[in-house]
Amino acid sequence: MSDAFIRAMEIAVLVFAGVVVVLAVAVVAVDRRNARWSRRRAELEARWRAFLLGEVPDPPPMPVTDRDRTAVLVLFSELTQEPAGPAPAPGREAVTAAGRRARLDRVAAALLHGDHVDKVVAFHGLARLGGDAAAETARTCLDDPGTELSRAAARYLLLVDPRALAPVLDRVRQRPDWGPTRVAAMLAEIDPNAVGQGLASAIDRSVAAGDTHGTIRLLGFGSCGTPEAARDACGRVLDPGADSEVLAAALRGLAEVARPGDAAVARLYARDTRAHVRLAAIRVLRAVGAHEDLALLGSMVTDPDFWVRRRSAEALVALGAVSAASPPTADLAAVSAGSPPTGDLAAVDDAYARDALVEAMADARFTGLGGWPALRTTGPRVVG
Amino acid sequence: MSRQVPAPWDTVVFAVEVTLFTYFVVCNLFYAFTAVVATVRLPALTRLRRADPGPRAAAPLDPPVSVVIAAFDEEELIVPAVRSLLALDYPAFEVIVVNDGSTDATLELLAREFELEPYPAVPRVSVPTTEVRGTYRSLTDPSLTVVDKVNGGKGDALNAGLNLSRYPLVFAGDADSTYDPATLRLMVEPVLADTRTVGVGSTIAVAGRGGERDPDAPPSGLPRGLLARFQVLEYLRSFLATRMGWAPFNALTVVSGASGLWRKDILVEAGGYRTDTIWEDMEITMRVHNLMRSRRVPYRIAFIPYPVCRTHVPDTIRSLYRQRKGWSRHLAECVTIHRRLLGRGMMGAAAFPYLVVFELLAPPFVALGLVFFVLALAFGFLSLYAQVVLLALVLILAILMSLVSVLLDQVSYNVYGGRLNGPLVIALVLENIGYRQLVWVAGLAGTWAWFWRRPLRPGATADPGAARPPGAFVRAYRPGPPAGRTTEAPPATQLAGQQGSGRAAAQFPPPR
Repeated sequence: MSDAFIRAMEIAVLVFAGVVVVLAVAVVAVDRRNARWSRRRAELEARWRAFLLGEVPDPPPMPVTDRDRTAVLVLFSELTQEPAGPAPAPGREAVTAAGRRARLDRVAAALLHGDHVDKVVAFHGLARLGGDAAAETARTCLDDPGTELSRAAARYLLLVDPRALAPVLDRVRQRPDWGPTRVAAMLAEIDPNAVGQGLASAIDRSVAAGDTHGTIRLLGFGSCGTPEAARDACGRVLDPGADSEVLAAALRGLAEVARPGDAAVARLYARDTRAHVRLAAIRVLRAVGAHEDLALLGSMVTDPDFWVRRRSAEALVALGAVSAASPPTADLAAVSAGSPPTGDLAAVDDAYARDALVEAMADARFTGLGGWPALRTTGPRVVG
Repeated sequence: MSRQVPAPWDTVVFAVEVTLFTYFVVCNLFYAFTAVVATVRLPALTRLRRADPGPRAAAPLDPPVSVVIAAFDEEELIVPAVRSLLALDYPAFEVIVVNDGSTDATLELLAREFELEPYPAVPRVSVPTTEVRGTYRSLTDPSLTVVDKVNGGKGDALNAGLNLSRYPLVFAGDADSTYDPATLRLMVEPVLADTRTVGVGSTIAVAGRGGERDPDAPPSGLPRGLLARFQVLEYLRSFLATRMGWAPFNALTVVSGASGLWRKDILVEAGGYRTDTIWEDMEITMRVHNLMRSRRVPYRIAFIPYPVCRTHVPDTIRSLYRQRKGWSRHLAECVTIHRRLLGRGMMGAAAFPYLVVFELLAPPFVALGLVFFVLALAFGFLSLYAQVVLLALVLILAILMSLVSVLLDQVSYNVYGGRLNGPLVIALVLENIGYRQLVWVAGLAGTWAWFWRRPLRPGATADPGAARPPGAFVRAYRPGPPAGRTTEAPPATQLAGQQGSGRAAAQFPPPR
């Protein structure tokens, strides 16, 4: 090892030792800053929460630092957001009014000049605090590649400008990165009639544009509008010539808002050659099926597709065609393990069908007739 | 001063010096690269998460998830683990616990605690497994299903859970870990945000003292004992400074077995979990990479930095040695099985070679380095001073990486909470004396065992403190193709014959 090389290593040791010292100091400094901020945030949140929830009449002194402003606005957004778990004590409107009294809109507007995280905070705050002063900025941010910023801008626009629904729904169609939960929460904050009509128009535009994925995605949000509008939207795309994924999505949407008359449509598609369409039709029959559908569902428990068998068996149990009250689960387990079937099951020759029925009956015993939560999706199926 | 080395040995010494030094420099460049990426991304992600926390409750539009955990001799930890899973804040999920032939009271404890009743489940056998002895559902919480099967390893147990799962997303967890209530909501988010996502991994934290007095309290804070704290530093380096750095390039080489979410159709298409490797997490991750690259479709394996899971780590040197030996062997198995990944995308161009050269070959290189420096000292062809300088450089860089990881934790989620813990700072220095060497020796032993295809004793890695799957007792190494897959099961009543019911399969129609 040459002397020059050793010299180079000596320099490297000194340089990196210096970096280690700097980092060690940084670790200690950040640690102290974290501790200070934790205390400060707890105090800030306690004081602002008390004011926003109406427990004290006067707002705390205006926050000063960027972090203070962000913390207060995030707290305000949390207290006013939909859907929430337990509703905040005096209600969202009271919190919003308190926020306006404290001029949080000015605080939020100041953050609009910050980076994209500041803008996200600002849009969420302004969405409730009102005022369309930031509308132009929001329209620009609507097409931002960042998921959070574009979504926050969309939420703000939806709440301050009723005309923004159409462009926002077009973005919903085109942007799979806007997660369905967030979109549903956003749509739940505005008038369901407007959402229903807007969705119907957006679906029309999507079908006209030949956007299969977009149409499926929009159909998934049917429940955010009124049931009538959702039925109407599903009905528009229930055309035998449509893409099978679109058909299945429309049937799934229909199942949530179906009326007894819709069973006729489901019967038609229950005989489709594609398993995912049959599966979606079973959901409608399970929701609004009549006595005459029991034979059809009975024939479907011998379907070649595993999930069609299972779902039709569940539908039969839910519709009362197969008694879930007897025999006891232990007997069902015995049938599954090879004991001779009795009761309703004795009439079932097909072992696959019997399996499906046995499990559906046991499910009903354990979970009630509601059974397991069914898959809802706003995108293409991920599993057959 | 060093002595002159006679020819031709001078050439050999020079070659070894250059090789070792190049290895050292390139290895640290890789560390620096991932640490820089993580440093750029992590604070921004954390800030964004705080700015836009999202709805307080999960919504019905979230896709339902099947949570599958394998349990082998987990009587000490299984009940709190299942409780933490059943308490997840998510609208629709099921929990499937697969008792993989435990020899202790795991099944009995589950039966007593959750009032299990026989349940005639009809599996859709997508992946063959060992014999399933029985299936049970809980009367207290019907979303809990327990499968009792003949011992077959963690991969086999997860496959049994996969066959029974009802939902399109599968979360694979560990029976010795506890989970944050928001786990599923956070893990599902990348799948919803990007439809190309096929898998999601997360940071794992070491279980702390939080649950020591109150079994229902989360195991937060720092763990007791220097050995556990060394592992805290390792986990921080591994998850925050390394995986966080590889994830943006879709080059995650492992979605941890304690906390991994997968699309079920992709798992089934990949043939399910492999049962002939020591562990299953890295293997399934690489197999999914291979599968998706073969299909030539865009895909993503995402990573969330939030530590949704806290796991118990080995608390004795013996169990730590066993665990690390197993990890090293699994790594060797995976890189040989999936060597076709080499050169394919960022994963094959950087992460995979990094794994081979700086993870798998690190223990042999360290051994070579030690031998070289001992010889150098003995024969005097390298001065003591030069060796001290080199050693100082190695130590300083090791401490630097640990400091970066601690700093990343502090500016993001501050996982271990509160003020900087003095013992963690001490551990940061002390881990370089003894602990790292132990890990290297275990790594070398694991690679050696893999090379000679030495079977590990059953239960060899089934340490209750192991962070990797405790049910991963290992059968003799049997190289072979991934488990075959079927897309349809024979009726359960026919399977009953295979499950010991005594009913003849011939009485029923053949499988479709």
